[in-house]
Amino acid sequence: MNDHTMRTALNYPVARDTYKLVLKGAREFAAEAEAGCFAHIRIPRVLARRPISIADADPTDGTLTLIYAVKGEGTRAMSELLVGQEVLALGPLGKGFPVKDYAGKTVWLLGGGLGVAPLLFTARKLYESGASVRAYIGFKNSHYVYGTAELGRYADVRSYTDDGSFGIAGFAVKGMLGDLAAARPHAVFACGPKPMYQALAAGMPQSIPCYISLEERMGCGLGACLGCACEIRGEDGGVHIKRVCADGPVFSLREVVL
Amino acid sequence: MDHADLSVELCGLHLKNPVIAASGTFGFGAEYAKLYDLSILGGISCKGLTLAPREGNPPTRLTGTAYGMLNAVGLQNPGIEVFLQDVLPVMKTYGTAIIANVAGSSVEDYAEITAKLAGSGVDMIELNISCPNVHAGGVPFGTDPAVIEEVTRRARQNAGVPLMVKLTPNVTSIADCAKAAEQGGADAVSLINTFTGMAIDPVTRRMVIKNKTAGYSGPAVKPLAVRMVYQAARAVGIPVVGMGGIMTPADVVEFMLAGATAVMVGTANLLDPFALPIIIDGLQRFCVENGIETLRSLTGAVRED
Repeated sequence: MNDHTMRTALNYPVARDTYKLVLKGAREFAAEAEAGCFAHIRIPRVLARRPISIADADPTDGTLTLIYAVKGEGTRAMSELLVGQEVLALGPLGKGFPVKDYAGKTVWLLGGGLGVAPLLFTARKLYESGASVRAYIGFKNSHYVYGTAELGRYADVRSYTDDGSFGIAGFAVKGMLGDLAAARPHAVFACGPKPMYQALAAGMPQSIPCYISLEERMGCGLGACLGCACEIRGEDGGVHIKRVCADGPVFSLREVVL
Repeated sequence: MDHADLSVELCGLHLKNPVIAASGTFGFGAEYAKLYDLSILGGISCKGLTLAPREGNPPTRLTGTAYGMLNAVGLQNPGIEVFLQDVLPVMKTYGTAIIANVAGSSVEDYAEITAKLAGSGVDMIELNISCPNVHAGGVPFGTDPAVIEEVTRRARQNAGVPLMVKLTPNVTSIADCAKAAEQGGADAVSLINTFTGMAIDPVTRRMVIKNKTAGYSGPAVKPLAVRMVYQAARAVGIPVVGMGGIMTPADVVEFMLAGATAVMVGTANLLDPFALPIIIDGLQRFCVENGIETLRSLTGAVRED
């Protein structure tokens, strides 16, 4: 893990308010990157870093791909990065999805909105480890859909939109739970909004391990500042504070206080 | 001249340079020790310690603003016993001055925790009487000079090492607070802690920080901090350790000119984990370029002609 200077190779919108940033000079970073980890990105003229999940990392051509939503001033400035401009990428950071534990097994991915981004990398890593992958992905409407083609290379993709303007109408999590009658995965890896996790926790049998990626505003990204806290249920039944950046961002669904 | 002497003396402690990692942004050093050799630092002020372990505040604890940062971590820490047994022995291997930052919610808490630190091997104790998230009887600790003097006196009796009192900027007269600490027997004062702030999400209409109020830090507060360090340094005879939005070597020099003997760097660590080594390198360059042989000669050397 280090703070890597990278150059912008591509930066363009892939959906409404959603951009893809491809950075060059990421050979060392990409070699270390695991599915579900993130990069803490610093861009010129913006004070605070932004933690962005890894949508792809390729050590052969030294690229790091990030997909991010333009929400505030920082990500607005990020969307204005021009080809050749430098950014600093600290990482790879965090504990990702347990891909290695499911080599050759069946894993279902569940993604909502921007949460689909880390699943693109996760699907590739699972596919390369010989896992059989199915992906349930949901978006608000057709304007927000991205990543279906990349995901389709590694997974059997089922797309949903809230209004049915693309794919199946409804929530991806409902679709996944509905399909449990016909088939069962060895595990579920999910990334999306809290209500999606709550629905997953309510409907998924206890016997199927589920791993979810949490999002929180972050400070140092290293685990030192204790800024990005989440509440985790301990084995003693008590609730304890854990660090999203260093203890996560991926946690077991059953231990997270949602 | 191709090399300047960056070292400073703080309450009889020899620091390699004036740059100390500020409490709350550096944990106990372990995360940063993986990135660089901590022996280059002037010192480390550890995460605020309390008698009992604390889980801290529920999330969300932190958010960024245009020129600063709000945080309400709530003194999450493993407690003084775990610190003494497991953490301090590791920190002692870093080869830099170790300052134990301590907090409490009563005068007795401070007296007890400083007694526990006596003879532990820490180089200095910093009394955090200014954490805006811990209240005593509904009143933020450390805004009343009489309370500052009392808590300092009680802690001073027990501390076997130099005692520094960290002051809050959320007061009308920082000079009166610094004087109260000196009166109580403090060996130094450090300032500023964070300003009490708040952020509200315009779309969800909710408080961004769960604790509602939060400490504001970063480059936005630097001019306020420089002014307060200047006022405190003129009011007392003990050393002043300055902090508040330091991001660059030039910022360090500015605080020293205002009267600081040493400085602490906090928020910058969160923006760039290599901020401290970069600032220390830059201080050396600044001194050489400006013909400054000993950096400590700058303390209080602001020209007012």
